[in-house]
Amino acid sequence: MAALDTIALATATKAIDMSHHVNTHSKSRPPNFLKGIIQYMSYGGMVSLAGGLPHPSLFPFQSANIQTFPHSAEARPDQLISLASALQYGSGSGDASLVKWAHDFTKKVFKPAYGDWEILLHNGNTDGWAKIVRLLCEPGDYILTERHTFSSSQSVWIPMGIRAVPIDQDGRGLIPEALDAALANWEAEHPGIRRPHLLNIVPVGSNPAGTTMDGARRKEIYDLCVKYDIIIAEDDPYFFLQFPVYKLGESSDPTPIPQEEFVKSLVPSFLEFDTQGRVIRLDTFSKTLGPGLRLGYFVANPQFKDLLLRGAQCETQAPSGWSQAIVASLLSKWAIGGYLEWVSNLRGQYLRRRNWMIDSLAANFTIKPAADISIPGAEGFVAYLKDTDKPIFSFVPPTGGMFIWTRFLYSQSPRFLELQKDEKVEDPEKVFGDELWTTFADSLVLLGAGIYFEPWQGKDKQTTKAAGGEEGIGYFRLAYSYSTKEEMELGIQRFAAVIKDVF
Amino acid sequence: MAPPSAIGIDVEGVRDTEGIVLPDPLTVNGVSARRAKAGKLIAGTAAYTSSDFFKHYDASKPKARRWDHYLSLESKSRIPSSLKGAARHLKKPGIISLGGGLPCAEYFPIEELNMKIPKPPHFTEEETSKSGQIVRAGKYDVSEGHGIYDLSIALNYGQGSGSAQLLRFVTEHTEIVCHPPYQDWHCALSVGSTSALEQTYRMFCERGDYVLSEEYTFASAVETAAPLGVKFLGVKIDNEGLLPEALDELLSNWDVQSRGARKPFILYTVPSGQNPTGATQGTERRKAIYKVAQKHDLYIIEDEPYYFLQMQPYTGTDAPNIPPPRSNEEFLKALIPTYLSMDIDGRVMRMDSFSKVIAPGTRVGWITASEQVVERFIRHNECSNQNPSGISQLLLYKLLDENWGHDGYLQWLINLRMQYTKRRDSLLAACEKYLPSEIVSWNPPAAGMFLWLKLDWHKHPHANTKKIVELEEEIFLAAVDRGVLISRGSWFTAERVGFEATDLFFRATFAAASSEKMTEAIERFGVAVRESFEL
Repeated sequence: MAALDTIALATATKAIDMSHHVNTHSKSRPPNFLKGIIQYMSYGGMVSLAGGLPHPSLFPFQSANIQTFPHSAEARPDQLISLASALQYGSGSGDASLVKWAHDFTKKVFKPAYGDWEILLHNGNTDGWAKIVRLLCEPGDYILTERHTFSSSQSVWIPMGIRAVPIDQDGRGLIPEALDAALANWEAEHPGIRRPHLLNIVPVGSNPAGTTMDGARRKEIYDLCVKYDIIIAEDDPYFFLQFPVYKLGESSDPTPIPQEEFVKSLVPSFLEFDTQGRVIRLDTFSKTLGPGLRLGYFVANPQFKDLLLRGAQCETQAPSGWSQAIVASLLSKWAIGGYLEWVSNLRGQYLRRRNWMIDSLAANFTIKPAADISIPGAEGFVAYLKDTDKPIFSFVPPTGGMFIWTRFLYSQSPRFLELQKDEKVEDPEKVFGDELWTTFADSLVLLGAGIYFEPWQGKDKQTTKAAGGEEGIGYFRLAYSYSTKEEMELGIQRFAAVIKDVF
Repeated sequence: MAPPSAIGIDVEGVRDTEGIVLPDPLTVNGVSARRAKAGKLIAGTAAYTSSDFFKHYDASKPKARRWDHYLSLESKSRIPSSLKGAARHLKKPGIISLGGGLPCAEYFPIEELNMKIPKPPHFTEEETSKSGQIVRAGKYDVSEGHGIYDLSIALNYGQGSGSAQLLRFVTEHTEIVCHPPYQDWHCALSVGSTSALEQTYRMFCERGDYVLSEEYTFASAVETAAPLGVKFLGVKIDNEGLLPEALDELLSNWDVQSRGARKPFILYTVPSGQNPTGATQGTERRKAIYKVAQKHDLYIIEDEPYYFLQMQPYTGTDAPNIPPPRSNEEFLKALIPTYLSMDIDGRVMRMDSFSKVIAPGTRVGWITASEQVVERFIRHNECSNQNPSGISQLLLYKLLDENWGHDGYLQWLINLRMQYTKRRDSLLAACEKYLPSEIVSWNPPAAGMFLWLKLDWHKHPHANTKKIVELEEEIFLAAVDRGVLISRGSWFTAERVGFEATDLFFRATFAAASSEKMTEAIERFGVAVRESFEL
């Protein structure tokens, strides 16, 4: 009896009221008058002259079909897409079958801990995140970010006069104590300024850091967010690209694992801890089916979902009908099991790529576990110049995503020491980082410069020192998503040659 | 999330600057010569592109004015995406990029797309069933030498400007139709005009600003502005839409103190087949409004979803129909000149959309404005919707460029013109037959999808005791009871607070229902009106 009660209670849990998080912008949306029509549409025999929908006979596409890959090695399906509704104006919510698919999928894989969560389609996570910022943030607000954060996420809010509060992260992602400290001391350190109430986080394959947050860490973060009343934007494009910890000398060709084992191996989403409806999850098909689809979805509490929908009706409207039709037909054919099989294979491909790149680093540098050496701040592995005892950079082998984030010991370079001594150089880390990036580019290897991923803390905090950066440390991001194995190996050789030269 | 910039492959465009003898303005026939001169378009994954690569550069034309004084703080603070700096290095031969985060096309599970489309000039559904073409888009068509745009490119990340392949088409189309009279005009794709409009408000407006528009206007335009703290101010209209004198007067007498806002500088107008009034501004009207805009330094948002739904002149129920345009040239000449075509200052942002002329679900449109304004618009795209769906872009490219060409597209637009003419005429015939002429009046629309019905409320038995809006609701509900939905005029007021209607309007569309259904609906509405007016 007691057990039954618990279950009944759990399924009945509803999101708590979050209206105090909603910004003026979203609160001041006027009602849409045309919505008044919808209630009458279902009357029997009603003829509507009220809307402004073009007649489907005037759409110049008659039919379409797609050849898709099978999720497994079976025969290739040939699918017919229904066009009339795909090409018409939507209500903004998107294709009902696709929404239902996302709902079932979320329930099965992400298991939200509260009951009345909803799905809303968006045009990819960049669009989704922009909509969240416009739902929750006021000009002058602060947003909690990871210590190194994705540059495009910032470009939406920097022009709104918003600033970042970077929270330190380690190999398991965001550090709870650091989050707690930033919030506990907020009033003292920022008198008169509203405490941040939004956390932006890429918890799997963090961009750029490549780290993945485990369940225990998530629980701690979630509890702090409850304590301080923070909304979590879980931006999760790489969720299915989760990898086991890299072991030196591990085979580059990982063996595929059965689907059930694969699903079990995945870390829990923040939704699994979310008893209150304070997580807005951003899912996208960009990394699993193709970014050009510009299609993804929110999982959010009903209140946020309604307001996000209301916003979408005045902005993007529903995502492309073509994209929706294609993805809906693909997913209905594949079903959830097929999609999981597809992403499981995909994960295997990216895992192999990760291994290629680390193997390639190991071939060009001497790699030692950081635990065996005492270099402050170094985690994972330390890369030494071949045949020397000179450490150059450290990195945590990614446990997800598409990137290796390298932490450079600039002070090992004579050129950097020269810059550091020069009193005219205000920010030696930045100057040296720029020089090094350019030298890489001149040697025909293009990297993501660490500076791209610096959280924006305001105009007065742009130098490494003012932004709270470490002295003599800089970062570069290496992507293993796009190039071929040969290109990757050649790229890393060039990378190593430049380092040998400069250091 | 996505990389914000080109981390892709070969980026090469040819700027059309040197001594090509081109027919000026560009015609449909001129396109192939220009393309031949420019060489094959090579634009791979996320390739940087610009209208400059595709349009005629005319040094004799003036450059657009600068709009720094109108750009919002938000727009001015928008920095180019930081990975952009890397893009120029991508052109280096042999460079290996470990910089971006593009997924590998190998992992896109769509191999091939086929669709059936009409073959010009056989556009009807019946004809398409019989003679339509099957158009195929494969994954690696480009590397296999079958074309210039394929699924591997379309399914990957793109640029905030939209793909080079579709941008080329809309740039040429814009030049053919509008031939803007200044030098540095550009196009950029949008995910539809609603989205483009929201972005444009953010680019120009601060909280507390006013935007000027027709006194009855597109409801979403008002509702999108409201949460940004931007209010609409309606300008008087007549049968041809916005009145330039009223606009001038309003601006000349603007008093910052009493209005509590700076003098408005954004005019939002739907010049053709305006929603909801169906009014179309004639050439002289547009010129006069442009002059007022110059006088008061207004920036004009020319929202033109219905531009190509300009119809044949209305001849009445008994007169014979006017034959369709005999050629694309004749068709183009019959169109009212756009604001963009008279924009010597670069003070117009024109919004085009495929929603009404191809299909809304494509969610693709484009803007045309000066280089400065388009650049800010693209910066905004980069951190929000990025670009329209690659699938939509690819299929539109296949339809419009690879198969129909500009010639076929214009034929399609002529076909639409005739279709909408037929629809309008059938609605008007029903109105003449079933609506009480002593109460209901209208102007036959020259463009768009809407008929604006004016009811002489003075003749209502309760005219003295009830407000106009109450009569409106009563008639609306009576119509619902009779089985017809028609939009209430008050839903479209530019000013949502304190607006006192002086007339009673309803809006009917002739876009959506069949001729029989429309006739039936108007008959029902006629009954509802008669009942309410106790006729």
